[in-house]
Amino acid sequence: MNRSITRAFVVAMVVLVVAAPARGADPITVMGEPLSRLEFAIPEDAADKAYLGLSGAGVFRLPQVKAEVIIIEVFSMYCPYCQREAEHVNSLFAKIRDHQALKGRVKLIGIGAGNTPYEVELFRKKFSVPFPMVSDHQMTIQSTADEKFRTPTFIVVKPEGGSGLKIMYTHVGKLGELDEFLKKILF
Amino acid sequence: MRLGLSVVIGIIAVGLFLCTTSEGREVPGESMYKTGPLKPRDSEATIKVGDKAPEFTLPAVSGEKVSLSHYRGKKNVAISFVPAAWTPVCSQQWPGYNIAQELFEKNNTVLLGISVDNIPTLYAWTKEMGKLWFPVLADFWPHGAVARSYGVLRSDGVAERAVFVIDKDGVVRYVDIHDINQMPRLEELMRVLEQLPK
Repeated sequence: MNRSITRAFVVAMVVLVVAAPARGADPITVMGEPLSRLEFAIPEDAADKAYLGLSGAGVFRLPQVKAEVIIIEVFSMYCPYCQREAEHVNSLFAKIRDHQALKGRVKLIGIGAGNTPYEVELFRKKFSVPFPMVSDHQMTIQSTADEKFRTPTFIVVKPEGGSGLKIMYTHVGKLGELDEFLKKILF
Repeated sequence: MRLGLSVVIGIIAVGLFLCTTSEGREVPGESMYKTGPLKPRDSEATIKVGDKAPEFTLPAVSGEKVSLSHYRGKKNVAISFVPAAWTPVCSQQWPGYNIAQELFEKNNTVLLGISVDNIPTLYAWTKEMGKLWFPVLADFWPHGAVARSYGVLRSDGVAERAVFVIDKDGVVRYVDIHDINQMPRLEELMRVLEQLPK
């Protein structure tokens, strides 16, 4: 009986492995130079400013963010996939915040592609997003890639030399297992 | 016997696989039909602010029938006509409204989504969006009759991307027959709803 259960288990696993779909879509190629030049409104919220290491008002560029690595989530309030993924991305934030080696070194920021500040704020409140989210109403993020952005897209960048960004990794679609994601992108 | 057990567990595995794939679509847009840019507007407006809203009764995806008059004296009504299921802008507009339920309720307003697609199509499409809190109505037969009565049926049989706001007395208070290629902004609709008597 034990042998038959083992055999059945093996059959099941083979079926799962053979039939399982590839996770995530093809990564998008994002160019660091135009991304480093995009400007976003400095958040009004003091906690957001402190998290990003910004001060004052006006606009900021991503290389100004005080971090060794920035995980950018390109999302849209209108995107049902982003809505479904929101809680999982919040978990990523918490995992980094609670990780001794990553805390303070890796920061998250959401960019609301084509979304007004009102829409970004609605998304953030609805899903209790703990990290800063900024509006990109004019969809300037599109200038950083030759193909159309799909949401959610995650872009992992490393600020370089004060004004540059090195693209480390891009991922389109669901993040999947968070530890695996972090392993892929970090150090 | 052993073979039977193997087959049963194999079937379970296939079932798990199918369940995973139906929930696991990770990238929006894969199922969407790319329409390309369309003529921004292709109908003659017949309804203006201050008119009595045309009455209608339509079947909802949930199985019930929904009549505009049901809300008379009780709630304001926002009607969102979208052109067609499985097209890019439409497939994001309603999910956006879906996370704004509290804002609609705060303004004593019910949202009705209307498309000229039939019920099975709307069922599959809205399932992809997640669970919608507002009724989705099929203006399929007589084809586009309600869209026509609101002056938003295009010459190719789909509806304009249009938003109407009707107050509790059944009077049209807002009309936005939008560029079909563009998303109407939620905040504009909320600005209108906030001004209505509750």
